[in-house]
Amino acid sequence: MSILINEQTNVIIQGITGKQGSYHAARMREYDVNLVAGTAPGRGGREVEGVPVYDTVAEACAAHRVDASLILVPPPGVLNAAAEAIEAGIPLLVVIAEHVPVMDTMRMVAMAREKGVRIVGPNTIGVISPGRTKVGIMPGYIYSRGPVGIVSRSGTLTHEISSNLTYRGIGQSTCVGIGGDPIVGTNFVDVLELFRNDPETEVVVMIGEIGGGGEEQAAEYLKKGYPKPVLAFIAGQTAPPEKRMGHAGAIVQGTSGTAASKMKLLTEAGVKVFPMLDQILDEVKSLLGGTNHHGS
Amino acid sequence: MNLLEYQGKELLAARGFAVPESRLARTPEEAEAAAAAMTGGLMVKAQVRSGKRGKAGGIKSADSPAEARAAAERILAMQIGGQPVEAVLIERKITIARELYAGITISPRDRSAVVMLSSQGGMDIEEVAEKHPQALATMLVDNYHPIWMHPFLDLAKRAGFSGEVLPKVADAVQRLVKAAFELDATLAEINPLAITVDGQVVAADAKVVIDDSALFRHRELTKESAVGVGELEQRAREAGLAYVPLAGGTVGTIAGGAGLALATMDTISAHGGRPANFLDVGGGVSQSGMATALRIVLATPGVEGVLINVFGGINNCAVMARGIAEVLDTDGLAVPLVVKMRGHSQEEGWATLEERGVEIIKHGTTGEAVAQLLTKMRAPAEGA
Repeated sequence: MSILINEQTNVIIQGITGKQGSYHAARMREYDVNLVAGTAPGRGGREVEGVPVYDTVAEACAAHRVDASLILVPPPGVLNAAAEAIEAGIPLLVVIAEHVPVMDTMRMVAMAREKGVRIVGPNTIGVISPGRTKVGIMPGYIYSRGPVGIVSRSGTLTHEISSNLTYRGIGQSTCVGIGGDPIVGTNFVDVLELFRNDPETEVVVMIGEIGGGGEEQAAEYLKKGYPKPVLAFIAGQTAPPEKRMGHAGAIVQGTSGTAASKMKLLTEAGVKVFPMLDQILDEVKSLLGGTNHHGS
Repeated sequence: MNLLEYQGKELLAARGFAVPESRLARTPEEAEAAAAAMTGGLMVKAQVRSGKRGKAGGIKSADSPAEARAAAERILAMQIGGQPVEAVLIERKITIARELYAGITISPRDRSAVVMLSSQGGMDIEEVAEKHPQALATMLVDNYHPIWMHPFLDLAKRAGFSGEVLPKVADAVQRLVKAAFELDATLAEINPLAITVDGQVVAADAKVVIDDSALFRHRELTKESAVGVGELEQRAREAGLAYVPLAGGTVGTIAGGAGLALATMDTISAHGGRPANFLDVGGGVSQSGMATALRIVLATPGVEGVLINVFGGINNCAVMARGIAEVLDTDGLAVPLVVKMRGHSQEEGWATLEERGVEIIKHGTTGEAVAQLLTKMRAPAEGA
């Protein structure tokens, strides 16, 4: 089992003829993803990596069963691309772009909610169920299949923790980058709820950051009880207040959103919170015992 | 992008919001001329991005052009919240009967915007929420659904308004919300929102923050030069790098992704080092972008060693390695460097760095990379 995506997931790339689109089409093909089509207005009829290109998402959906779209268009085009995919009835959208205007995100998230569509992102590496498939831009070979579920606001910290687990023989069930922006389509609570019901996931690792309120919300949710151990790390423990640290979401305002307050709330909710990322590796190892968890 | 009061008011006025008549002045002479062109009592207000300007003496009243000039002279010589005052707003005095608060900002947990309205204005909204919770009404609003009037009437009623002022307040708040959505404002706050003695609802102040990611469609706003930004920060901004120098640090850092950049800083501190900066190269970094990042970090005061902690995801290891190599080949390197790099095109990236004798962490953790660098920094003879 995995969450959100599996071997059967048919994927399209919106923006497949662009630099990022064509590069990641190749990487996804290497990873045996069911990449069935791509779209690029004005480029219909071409092929990229052996995959047909359509002008519109509706045309791609008429010719193929499409379960997920990887949106790899630049930020100014994201809102229209997402609206097109939502109208075409694709149930899962993964929005990679950083610097999408928050007003555009608000609009597409409201639209998606109304139409029952799930958006992951923006500002994310996407989703990977190692050894099965990925809808994202992560390098597949630093991930491996196993029992650890990862949910993270930070893409590169997902690479960091997953690669270090992989090098230590511990695999992952599904890794979800929820994205670093103030508004995201799928938040910590949504993913924790999915991991709760996933039999393959034995341990959940949660990677948070300063700013926003997602970790606080997760703490409220976890306080009511959760059937699996949850380990957490919050990046930005040494960040000065009122300075925006990269992500639009990563800013400490006053006393709210600090790493210290998030760590305290999560600890009170029964989460094992670690001040150093490397400590999570040891804890996962001891929780899973001595068996080999490096999946196929 | 944090706008100054006069910019916020101009943008609101263009969207049908009532604001007092005003003129901007950058010198005492301009202040005098502005005042001479206006009638009645005036206010001279420092244009700075700080909420504390009233307490700091940055707002003075003036009843003649000469008084306006004198007030401007004093205010333009001030520093408020660490910022020099570069301009003053000469504004017609309004006779306020009541001060309210109206604001809109992003609510991450609700994935929409939240509107706040209070019958208690003139103080921080945090203070209002604490001292007069019954006077603060809030509601969620998004830019996908139509923005009707009736939720604003309900909001104003909940904030305690009734009678003739009720529809006027509701109208003002609706205009504020529409303006915020149109302007890509992540914060638009009018505090105080004034009800004048003749029953007008007027913005007596305006605090507007525009989403930096949306500036591509608000080009008119980007002409304003950045205030209070250092030279290295300016260079980083031009190169599309997110960079924040940290006073007193010795370990320069470059990371891909804000989360990893923050975690790298945390790890350095946990190992007894002090990070000298935050630097996130962002997605799709080029060779020259990486080279600029390294040059900026090397130019950061106090840097005695550099840790580069990057992944090839949306970025490419070969490209990033060439950027590092460019700096090593043309500028040389006087301090220890450790590079932790893996992901897309890692073999090519590693080879480029290995040819130049750079220490690479291929499979180790960030903690191991930090420990390695700190060891080299403590033993300078073996470093560099």
